[in-house]
Amino acid sequence: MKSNNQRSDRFDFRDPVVTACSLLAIGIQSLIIILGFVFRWDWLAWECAVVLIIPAAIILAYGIKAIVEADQMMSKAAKGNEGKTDEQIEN
Amino acid sequence: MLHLNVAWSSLDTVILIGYFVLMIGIGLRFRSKARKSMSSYFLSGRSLTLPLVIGTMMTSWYDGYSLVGVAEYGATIGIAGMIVYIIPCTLSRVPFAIWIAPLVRGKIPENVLTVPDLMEYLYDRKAKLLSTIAVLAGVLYNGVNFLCISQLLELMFDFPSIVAIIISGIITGIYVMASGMWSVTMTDVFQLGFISISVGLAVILVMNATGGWEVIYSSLSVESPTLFEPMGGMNFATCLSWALIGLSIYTEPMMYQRFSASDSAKTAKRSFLFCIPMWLVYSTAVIMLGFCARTLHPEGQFYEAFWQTITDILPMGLRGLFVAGLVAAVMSTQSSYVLVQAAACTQDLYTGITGKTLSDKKMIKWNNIASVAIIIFSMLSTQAWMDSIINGLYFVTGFQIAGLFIPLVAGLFYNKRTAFAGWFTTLFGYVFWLVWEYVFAEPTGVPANTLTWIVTFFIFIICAKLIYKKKSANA
Repeated sequence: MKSNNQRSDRFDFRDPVVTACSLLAIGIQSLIIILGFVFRWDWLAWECAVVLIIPAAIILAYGIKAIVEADQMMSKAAKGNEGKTDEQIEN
Repeated sequence: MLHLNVAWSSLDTVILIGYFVLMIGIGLRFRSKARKSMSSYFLSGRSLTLPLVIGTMMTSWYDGYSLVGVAEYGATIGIAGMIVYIIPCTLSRVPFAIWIAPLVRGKIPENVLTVPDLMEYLYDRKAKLLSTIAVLAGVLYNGVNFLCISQLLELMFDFPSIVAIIISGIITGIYVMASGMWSVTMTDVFQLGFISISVGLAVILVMNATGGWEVIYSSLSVESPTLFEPMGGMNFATCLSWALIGLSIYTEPMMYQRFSASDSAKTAKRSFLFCIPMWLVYSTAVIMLGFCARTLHPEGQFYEAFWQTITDILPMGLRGLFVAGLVAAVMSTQSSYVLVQAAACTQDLYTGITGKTLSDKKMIKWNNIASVAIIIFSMLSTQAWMDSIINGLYFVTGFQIAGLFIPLVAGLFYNKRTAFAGWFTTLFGYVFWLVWEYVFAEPTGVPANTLTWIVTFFIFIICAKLIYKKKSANA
């Protein structure tokens, strides 16, 4: 396997808006949780529930859609490869 | 008829069985579609979109430890579990998301499939072989997850634990070997739903039933005041040791696999950034469940208190969903780990020792054989963590960080790295950690996790500078 001792040109995957929003969300959530534990806020349980359930439901919906599309794509590819040998498929 | 020791209904059974049918069905559905190449088998053809990467990344982190183990923090070290462990873990993941995730996906060549591959790419074959040891040490951690399931089934049905462990192993084995990464990804999306919904609803219901923080505080603060202290009565060195466990994410083979499987560097980064606050909230909810379990059942083993609390308070249907959520958490993590560990045996060990490569078809076949062996060994390793599953995390992650953290992270960013520095630091890290932790039993009170990290940093820099200067002088 070829190794790479010299780092090539500096990678640049800057994504400032998404990064900033994510850091803000992490910071605010951490603060809410720390204060919630120190001051014993009962509503922290509700906040956790909402933050867990709503994004999971959204991801689940998108994920199911992506799975169905992947399944359709793979089925099409499988039909196209019918009758071919493994070597022909790999080539 | 099985005798049930906890509240349970037919609806709960239907949900639990329905979950197994769904997971196995998905695995078999993708069976013939994803076995064309090792890349397809191991990395889903590098085509996972953002929702799928988030789903599989989030769920792969959830396991028996992250539910029952983290809940146990609420009962043993209290709010310190958040302050010295969960919050530092959260913060330590941010650089991983911002810099390492996109670098691994965007700059590392496509034929680098695993962490040992990455070590070979950064250094040489010796580093690859030595890093495989850390990956395979994860097999001991598999025992933690099997133990969580077996404890639940023991409690519910008076099953002998060996029966429960075997059942977990068989189910995991079926859909891991069916279609590799595609199966893991597809089932993870559903499992994310099961786990998040069940834990989210459970924390509301259980906190309400317990009576909220005032009741928890008045019940526990007299006998265990340290539960409400920021450091939980631990000294600074021990707190730091727990905080450093968060660095284990940097050596986590599953995460590198998820980055490599993403469809782009941006997806790799964004998905991880999304997961960080979600993991934080999940752990918070689980620690609160632990507090409640200890309040309601102050005596006895924690896992009994935990499951008694869940089954007594949650309504029928939601109980089944919660148990399915735990099983989902364990299965998703186990299937990911087995996949990675099997690849370590075939792709990494075989090529690392012989220097030859196998065809994709043979690689997949040997992966399946290795998967069976790993599952059997994992079932045996449950015996190591019978006293406390927290020990499982501490041992395995401590060992992995000791060997891999510095060489991996430095290797990705340090221009003057050398092959000798890479493999020597890895080997030194393993040996130092084991000797400090188990031979000398942490003399001076400084935990091995804390000290090894510092020592290996200096070892790496010294080795790299010495050899690099020599190479430059000879050039």
